[in-house]
Amino acid sequence: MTDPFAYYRRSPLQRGLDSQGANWAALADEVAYAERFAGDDALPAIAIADLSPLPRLGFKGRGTIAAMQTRGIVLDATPNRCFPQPDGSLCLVLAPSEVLLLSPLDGSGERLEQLNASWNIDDGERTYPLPRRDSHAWLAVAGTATPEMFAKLCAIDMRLHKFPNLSIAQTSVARMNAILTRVDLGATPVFHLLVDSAAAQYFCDCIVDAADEFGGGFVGLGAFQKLADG
Amino acid sequence: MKIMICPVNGPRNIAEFAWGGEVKPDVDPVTCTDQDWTDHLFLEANIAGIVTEWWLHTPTNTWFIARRNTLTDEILETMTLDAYYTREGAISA
Repeated sequence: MTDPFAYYRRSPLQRGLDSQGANWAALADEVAYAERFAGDDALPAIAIADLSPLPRLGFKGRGTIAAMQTRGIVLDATPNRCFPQPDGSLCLVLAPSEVLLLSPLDGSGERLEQLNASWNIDDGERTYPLPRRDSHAWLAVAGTATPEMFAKLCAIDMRLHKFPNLSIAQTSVARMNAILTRVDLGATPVFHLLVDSAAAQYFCDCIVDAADEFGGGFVGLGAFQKLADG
Repeated sequence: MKIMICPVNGPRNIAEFAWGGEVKPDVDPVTCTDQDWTDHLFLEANIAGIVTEWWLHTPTNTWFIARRNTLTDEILETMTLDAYYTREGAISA
């Protein structure tokens, strides 16, 4: 079994996941992730996956939308809208001047590395990259009861007919500032959550506590990827 | 629960917002007196009635302008900076 302490990069939730019996594996760029838990064979009604080890990157500045379009990212300037990309990654337009890019679930980060490397301050594009892999923890919550669970944590109506697929809400969840977006996998509603990594363990405890009522709990990234594969 | 409407993100719990002070004309810190600069930074008019203020939606770090009635504790309207400056420009022109 992989020892997460053998890697420089670990999830901010590593200790909490360890205490719940996570089995660890590593991505190609030497980041430890929770690959599976003991109960993964029967997915819980609300499945929570820690995607924090996966690559992500932000860009901010008045020229951000144009700079992203120049680089082949599919998006427009509609704030609070998520744009799935052909390679499986997600582009979250948080404001007309800010985007957040999330890698595909397989953890491939080459595209984001290229985007980061392609930026040069001397080009005067009026955009600049933000290291979101360090600032934010990333969780995915899947299951039909998820909107009911969010009703306990958040004032925004997350019911599926009120919060359509690919919507984004930037709001307070469990009293923490959070970015929340819905990106369904097939017929399964899936909500991605990004919160301050420094308080990720507190947030994780709140989510697990809220999901417990519905029989929810953590699943490994492997089980979540299978959900994505149908 | 009190609701404020962020002009970018929509209606949200008032707990998500932070007050940023009254909208005041800028003063030049190089040429103004120390008293004027202190007034600008720290002192509020505290008007009993309709005030125009800076507010912040903290989850998104969105600064915007709100008009409130401090006597009735009502939020009359909120607007983006662009909308505010467009309106102010139209008024002063």
